[in-house]
Amino acid sequence: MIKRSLIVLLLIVTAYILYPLAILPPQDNLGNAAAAITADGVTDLGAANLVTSVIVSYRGLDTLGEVTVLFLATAGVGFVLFRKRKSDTADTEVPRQASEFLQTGAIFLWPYIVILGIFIIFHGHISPGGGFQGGVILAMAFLLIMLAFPGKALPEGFRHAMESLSGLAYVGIAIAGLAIAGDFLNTRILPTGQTGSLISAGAIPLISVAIGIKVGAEMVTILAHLRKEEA
Amino acid sequence: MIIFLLIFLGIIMLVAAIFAVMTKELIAAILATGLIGLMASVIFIVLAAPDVAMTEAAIGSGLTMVVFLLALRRIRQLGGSDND
Repeated sequence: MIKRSLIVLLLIVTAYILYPLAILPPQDNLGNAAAAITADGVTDLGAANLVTSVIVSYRGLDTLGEVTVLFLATAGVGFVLFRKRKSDTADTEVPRQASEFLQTGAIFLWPYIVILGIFIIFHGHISPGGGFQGGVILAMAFLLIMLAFPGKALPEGFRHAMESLSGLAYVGIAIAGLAIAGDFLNTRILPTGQTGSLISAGAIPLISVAIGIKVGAEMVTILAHLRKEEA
Repeated sequence: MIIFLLIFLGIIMLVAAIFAVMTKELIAAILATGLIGLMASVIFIVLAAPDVAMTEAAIGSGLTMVVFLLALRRIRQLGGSDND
């Protein structure tokens, strides 16, 4: 009884706090930073997709932090789920075979999903998308293979090498921006080219590729850790 | 017109969220969580934010659901054989 009345009280207080937001007049003019970016962003960096140029360059330091958080999450999952395999039991147990539908569908769909992921990564500065989304889609393609063919995953060393190298490339491009163009993560170290073409927008596509590979490798690592202990 | 679509999608999200909390079936709860992410990504598309919609569809309704399902299976395996 007292629990229920507390819930009702909580709902009333929440509604009272949130009510002013509902009757707030819509804001018509942008803030200072947003106005400056929307006015000069496209000509400044040469990327047709302003969202990507904000994520990769204007607030690129935050993206670097997000990627670091993801790396720490991967390390945490690996730390929690890591178990030393007993070498005699692990090899004798054969993992259960997936159904034929799943195997055929996985083989059929895998290339298309990979192509979609690569497209989204490479066109991040032109159309919606970018490294993060494309990397997750790539990871889902590899998850499909992992589900259909147990025991077949990307080799662990390869994953870790890709992740480390792409992270290194990201930081390297950022420092190159500091050295050449004068700002950390300034993407104008390469010519911006013609806005809207595939090879344009300076170093934004390179950073997208680095983020995509890093995110994809980290996601596959998390999924492989969760999947590995089932045998 | 758009406001009605948004309200409709929001009601679906609310119903799915309450269902996910109330139901006893864990798998149904996980699927309802994925439905929330999917509806959120549709709302982002309607509000002209395709970048966020892509992230939400890939993470919110794809990856989160897969991670939850794998974790659920792992918990069941641990519960089934507690000789470890």
